[in-house]
Amino acid sequence: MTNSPSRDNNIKLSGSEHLEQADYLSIDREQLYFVLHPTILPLRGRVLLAGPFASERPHRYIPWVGWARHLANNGFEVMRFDYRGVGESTGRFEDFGFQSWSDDISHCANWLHSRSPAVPLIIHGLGMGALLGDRLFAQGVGDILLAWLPPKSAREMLYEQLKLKLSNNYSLPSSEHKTRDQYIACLESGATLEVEGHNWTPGLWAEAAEFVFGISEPTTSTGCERPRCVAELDALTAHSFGGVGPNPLRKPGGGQPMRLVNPDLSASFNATSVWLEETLAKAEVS
Amino acid sequence: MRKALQLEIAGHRLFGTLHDRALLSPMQNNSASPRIGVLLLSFGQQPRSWVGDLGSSIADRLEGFGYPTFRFDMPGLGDSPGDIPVHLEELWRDILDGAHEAPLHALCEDLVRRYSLKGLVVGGFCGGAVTALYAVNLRSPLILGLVLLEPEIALVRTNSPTTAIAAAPLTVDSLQERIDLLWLRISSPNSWRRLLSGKSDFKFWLNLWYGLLDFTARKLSNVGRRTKLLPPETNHRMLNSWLLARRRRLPTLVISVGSPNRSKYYRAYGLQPGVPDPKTALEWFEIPNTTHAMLTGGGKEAVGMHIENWVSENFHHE
Repeated sequence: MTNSPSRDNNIKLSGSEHLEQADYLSIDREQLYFVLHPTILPLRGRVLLAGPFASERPHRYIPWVGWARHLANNGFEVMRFDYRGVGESTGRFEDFGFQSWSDDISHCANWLHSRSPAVPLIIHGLGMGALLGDRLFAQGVGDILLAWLPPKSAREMLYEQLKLKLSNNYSLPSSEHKTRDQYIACLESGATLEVEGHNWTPGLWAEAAEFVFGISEPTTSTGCERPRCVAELDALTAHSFGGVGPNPLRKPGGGQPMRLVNPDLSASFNATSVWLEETLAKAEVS
Repeated sequence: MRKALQLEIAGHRLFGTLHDRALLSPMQNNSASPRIGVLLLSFGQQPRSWVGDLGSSIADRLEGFGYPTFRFDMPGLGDSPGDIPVHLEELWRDILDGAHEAPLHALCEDLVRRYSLKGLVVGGFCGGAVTALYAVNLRSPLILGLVLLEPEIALVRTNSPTTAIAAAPLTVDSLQERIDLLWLRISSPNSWRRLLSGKSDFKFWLNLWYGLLDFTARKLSNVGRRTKLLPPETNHRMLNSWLLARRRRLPTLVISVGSPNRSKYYRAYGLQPGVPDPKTALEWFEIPNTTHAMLTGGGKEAVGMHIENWVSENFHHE
């Protein structure tokens, strides 16, 4: 890690925030951006956060960072990162796909695994990250898997994300008004599709067919079953992390609608971190 | 080549990214004359790469032309720690009211000193463009130019008691939306059916007439006046910074969506979208057939091209 600032006492930071470090890992001539959230507490485990698909990333960023900080304040060292071609990582989006992004998770897991002291590694995926993390977990990466809002498959996820294209078209009268199936047909016929600033290639759509959630059974060299959980989220957490449903905090007749950017998710965060602690304790006993 | 930055600025820890080809070969940075840097700010609640990674793609282009380009998350946004409100509209309102002005001023001074720059071109998107414009208030010779993408002139309405009173009347945006809706309803058989059966949405018609009366009254009040009456939600502080930039002839590039509604929006605040003003060093481009995020319909490419051309024409390497 480079670039460590000295701690200034005038800076107001809470918990483990002063330890957070952003940097890059090298992977196939690209720079993979990551942020490490170390903990000031005795280390319980390491959590690798595998984030959602590119077009969802900016809309989930604030609660995702909040979740990383919550975990760090509860004794977990957390790493979150951007897939190649997305966000702060380098590379062109269209040059990568699900296998490359899966390799990115694997690369980060190896990096975390090499840190000392050795503690259990939890893979926690959101959306596409849950889909890819689940596949890696089945291949033996990580000790615990936690999945939030996994899509049934990569194709279903892309199909869902095409709604963004439709909504943009709706506000552009001169734009071509195609259905999602027509756009899929375009991809299958070899055309590239721009969706929310990213170019989807026919290769991305073709590769998506291979990624289906939950079809691989977790394997282990020791014969012990490793914990794998697809969490059920409450309405507020599902809304914040997946855009699911309307604003659950809105009161009927409460005047002008207000959108949520930083709701209090501590109830859900506490419940999840307690589940992680209990699962780690059980794993230790077994 | 990118480098992750964490700087302690004005009581905050700010996370950012530097795009600089000199990072790849530091020898290139040994030229005698200091370089000009570019600082880009995100819009609203978005992280510093912006929606659709527009911010990072602009920075990549400028890096290719030899301009070290910085992108930073303001406090509480992206990777930077800090407190932000629960509701989005309150966050937007805070940003438009200048919540990021002090960290921006301190950041500009720090970057110029830390990287031995000749000065900075400061840019931003939407609310970030408003913050970028507030850099003018620093009255510093180190601020060399502005890049404003889709700047917001109106203050956002919120349910907060302190701001709701000031912003209660119909805004330019909401009036335009209502007029658009009117045309939709006139062409809708269902709407006529509801009207004839007495089930019409009277609240809609009442609000529309109120808005039109308010709009007409303001237009009539402006007849013969040298200083036009601006809409009630106008961000006067932002417009003062705009006027200061024009008086100082600070090179400014504005890029906005080239739609009739967006043009009407800017004209309502006394601006001339799409019209350059060489006397005040203003360049204004409109991009047709795109949305506010400036990604679709070739917007992403067009924005990058305009910024690249404008920066390299106005700020030559020495």
